[in-house]
Amino acid sequence: MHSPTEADIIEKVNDVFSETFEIAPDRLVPEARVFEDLGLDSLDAVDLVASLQTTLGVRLRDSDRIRSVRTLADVYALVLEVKREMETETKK
Amino acid sequence: MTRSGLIIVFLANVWFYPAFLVMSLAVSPFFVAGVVLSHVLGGRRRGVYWTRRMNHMYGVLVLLVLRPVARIILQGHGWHTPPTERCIYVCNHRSASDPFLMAKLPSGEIVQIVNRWPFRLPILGSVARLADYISIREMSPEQFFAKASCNLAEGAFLTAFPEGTRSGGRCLGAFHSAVFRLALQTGAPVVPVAISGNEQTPPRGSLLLRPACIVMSMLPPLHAETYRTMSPFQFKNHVRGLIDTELRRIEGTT
Repeated sequence: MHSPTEADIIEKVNDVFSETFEIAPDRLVPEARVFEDLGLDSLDAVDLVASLQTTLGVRLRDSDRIRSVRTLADVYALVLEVKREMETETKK
Repeated sequence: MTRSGLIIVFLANVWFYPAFLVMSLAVSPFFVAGVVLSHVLGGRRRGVYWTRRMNHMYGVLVLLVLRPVARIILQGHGWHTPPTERCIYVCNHRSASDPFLMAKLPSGEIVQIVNRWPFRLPILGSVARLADYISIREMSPEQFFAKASCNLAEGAFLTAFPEGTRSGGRCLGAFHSAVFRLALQTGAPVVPVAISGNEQTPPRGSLLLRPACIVMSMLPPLHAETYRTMSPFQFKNHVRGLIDTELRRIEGTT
């Protein structure tokens, strides 16, 4: 199984935002602020985490880092980081 | 501001605040007696019910006192006939006068869903507690859904300002989804209400009232069959879009 590239992750995260929240692709830029620009609130963030977990197979709910997410770029970085950690654990 | 404008603002405030104080002092003995008697004789539920009804009547009196300062125009349907089903009124929020404007709603027992700060106001905060209003920031989502569902089941109408805070101007902030999730859970109709013209009555961060022509436009109710296939995010943005379009229509900015 090949490990996903950064571009794969970005594409999948953007798909989650498009499908779960119907946000137009042109608004999904890395610097977009998840709460202010994309209009999510704390309850929507719970839905986002659930969708990301289902689509990407990552465990985000237990991660404290989820609280520090501000922009879409933070979401990409977090997912990528958690995905890589999971792969490292699997290899061990 | 011109000199005549300053004089008008001065007169508006010289009228409103003393009149508001005198009216509040005059009705407070009746209000206190009503709250105490209804709680003692009718138990907690009747007490809360009558406190809410009296808050509504007090709001009507505040709007009467405000009348020389602000003309209120009601647009749309549903102002004179209460909805047959218990519903959730969803309004945009520009000014501290918005909660008082809820007295224009036709429904008698209204539960306001509010932020923390109204509960911290002297006197009005105590009244909000007695009326068992919902301080949404002081409870978990689960507690909110349980309490608000219970209020709807008991026959109360809910009012909410999903922006969460006053915008202070003519912009419409992002909506929080809690009340829309509540509607999706309970199937309660959602009635959007667009409020325009009171952003300076008073402006955010000030108590200085500016004379205004306030337009409140009630849009047709959204019933469960029209929104049940939407996600909470889609639903909140759908209602936000309706209110935004209506505000643009009222303000002639379409």
